[in-house]
Amino acid sequence: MIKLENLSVGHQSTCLESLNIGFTKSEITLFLGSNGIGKSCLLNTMCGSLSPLAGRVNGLSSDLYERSREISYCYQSSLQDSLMTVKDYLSLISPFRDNLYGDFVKMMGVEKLLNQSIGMISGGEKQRVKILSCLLQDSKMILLDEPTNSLDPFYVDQLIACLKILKKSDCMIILATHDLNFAIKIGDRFIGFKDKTSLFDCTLESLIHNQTLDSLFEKKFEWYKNSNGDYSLC
Amino acid sequence: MLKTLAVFLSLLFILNIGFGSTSMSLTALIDSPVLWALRLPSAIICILAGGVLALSGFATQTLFKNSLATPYTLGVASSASLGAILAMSLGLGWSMVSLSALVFSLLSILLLLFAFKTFKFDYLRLLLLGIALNLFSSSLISIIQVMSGKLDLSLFLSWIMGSVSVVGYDSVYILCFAFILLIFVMFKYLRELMIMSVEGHDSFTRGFDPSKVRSILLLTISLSVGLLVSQLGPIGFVGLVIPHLTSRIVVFKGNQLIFGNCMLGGSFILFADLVNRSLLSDYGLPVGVLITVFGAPVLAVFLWKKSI
Repeated sequence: MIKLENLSVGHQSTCLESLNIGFTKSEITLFLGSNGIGKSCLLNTMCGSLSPLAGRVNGLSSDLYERSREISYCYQSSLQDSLMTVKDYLSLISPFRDNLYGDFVKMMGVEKLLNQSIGMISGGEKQRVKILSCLLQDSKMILLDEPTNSLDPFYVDQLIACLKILKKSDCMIILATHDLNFAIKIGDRFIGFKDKTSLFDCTLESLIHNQTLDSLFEKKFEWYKNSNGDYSLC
Repeated sequence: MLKTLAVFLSLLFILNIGFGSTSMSLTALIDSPVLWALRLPSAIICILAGGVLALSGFATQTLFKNSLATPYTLGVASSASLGAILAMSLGLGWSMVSLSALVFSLLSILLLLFAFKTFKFDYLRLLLLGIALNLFSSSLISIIQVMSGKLDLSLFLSWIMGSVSVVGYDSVYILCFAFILLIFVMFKYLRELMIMSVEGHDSFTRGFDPSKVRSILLLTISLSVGLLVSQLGPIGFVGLVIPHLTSRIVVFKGNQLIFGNCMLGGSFILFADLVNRSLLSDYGLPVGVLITVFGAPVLAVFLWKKSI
C-alpha cells in the first residue's frame, strides 16, 4: 500500500512539507484545505507526474504500465474537444473494470452519450465521462481532484454511490475537494492542510465535535442533521 | 469509407502513370523507360509523400492541440530550405543540395531534442520556438538570396515550392524508409496518441509517460519530414488540410485515421501531379504550387461548412 514518507511537494517553492501519511484499502480519504494550499500538487506527486521536493512516495511501481494498475487519477482539467466518440474513448482505458462497466455507465448517465463525440457534449457531461473513465480503470487506488466541479446535485449523489461500490471492492479512494457537503457525505477520513502541513487527520465524528473545519477555513460553520441522520454544513 | 478511398487512390495511381506530357500507346508505354524510370517512381513518391505529410500533420495537430499546426511548425522544413539554399549559392550539385538540406533538418531536430529536455510539458514554448526557428531561417534565406551572386533564383524557387518529379529510384527508397518509420511509430503509440487527443497532457496514470511519447512522436515526425523535404522540397498544405478532411470523412478511430490520412494524402498529391503533367505540362510548374492552389479552396469550403 502507498505511504508518504517525509514528503515535501511543490513546483518551485514548497507547498506542503514533511508529510507522513499512510493509506489503507476500503477507505475514502478527503484532502481539505483552502485554495492554492497544495492539494493538487500533492495528488500529482502521489501519482508520480510531479517529482517530490524531498522525501518519497513509498509503494509505487516505477514501471508506468504497472502503475496504471495501482493508480487511476482524475485530473481537475476538463476533457478536450475531440471528434472521438465517448464509447471509443472509454475503450482506450486499460486495465478495464469490465464487471462494473454496465452499472457505472448507467449510474453516471453516460448511456445516451456513448455514440456522441466528446467535442459535442456539455461541460458537465464531459466531467461525468472523465470521472467514469477514471473509475473504470482497474486500479487499486483512485485519486479524484475536485470531482464535483460542474456536476449537478443528482450526479453528485450518483458519484457517491459509485464510489461506495468501489470501496466495497477494496479500492482506496482519495479525493481533494472544496465541496464540504459532498465531503462529509462520503468521507471516512479527513486530512486538512494549512500552513504547509497537515492540521488534522481525523474521522467525521471528531470533525463535528472538535469544530476543526472552523480553524481550517477561518469561518464559523454550522452543522445540521437531517431526518436520515446525514449531516450538512452551512 | 476506407474502401472508397482505396479505389480512388488506385484509380488516380493508374491515371497518373498512364498519362503524361508524352502520350503513347499502352504496349509502347510498358516497354518504355518513361514508365519505369520516370512515371512509376514519381507516382510512388506522390503516394509516400502524401502519406508522410498527412500522417505527420495529423499527429502534430493532435499533439499540439492546434488546428493550424503542420509538420513544418517545428521549423524542420525552413531549416532544410536554409541548407538547400546554402548549397545552391555555393554552386554545388543536386545531390549535395539534398544532403545539405538533410543535414540542416537534422540540426534543427537536435535543437528540438534539447528543447524537449528543457521545456518538458510546455508545448506552447515548443510551438513558439518553432516559429522563431522558421522566422530565423527565412530571414537568413532572404539575406543569401540578396547577397549571393551564384544563386539561380528560379531553381531555388522551384525547389522551395516542392516537386515530385524524380528520375530513378533513389528518392523512392529514402521516402519509403521515412514512410515505414513514421507509420510503424504511429501504430506503436496509437493508443497513447488517441488518449492524449482527449486528455491532453493529463494522461500520466494511463500506463505511459505522455511527455516521453510526445517527444518520440515529434522526433519521428521531424526525421521523416526532414528526409522528405531533403528529397522533394517543402511541399506545403497537405500536412495542414488533409488531416482535417480525413477526420471528417472517416470514423474517428485510430486505424481508420491512419489509413485514411495515407490514402487521402496520396490521392491529393497524385491528383495535383496528374493535372500538372497532363494539362499544364508546357509550363513545368512545381507540383507544390498546384497542391496549394487546390488545397486552399477545399479548406475554405470546409471552414464554410463546419468549424475546424
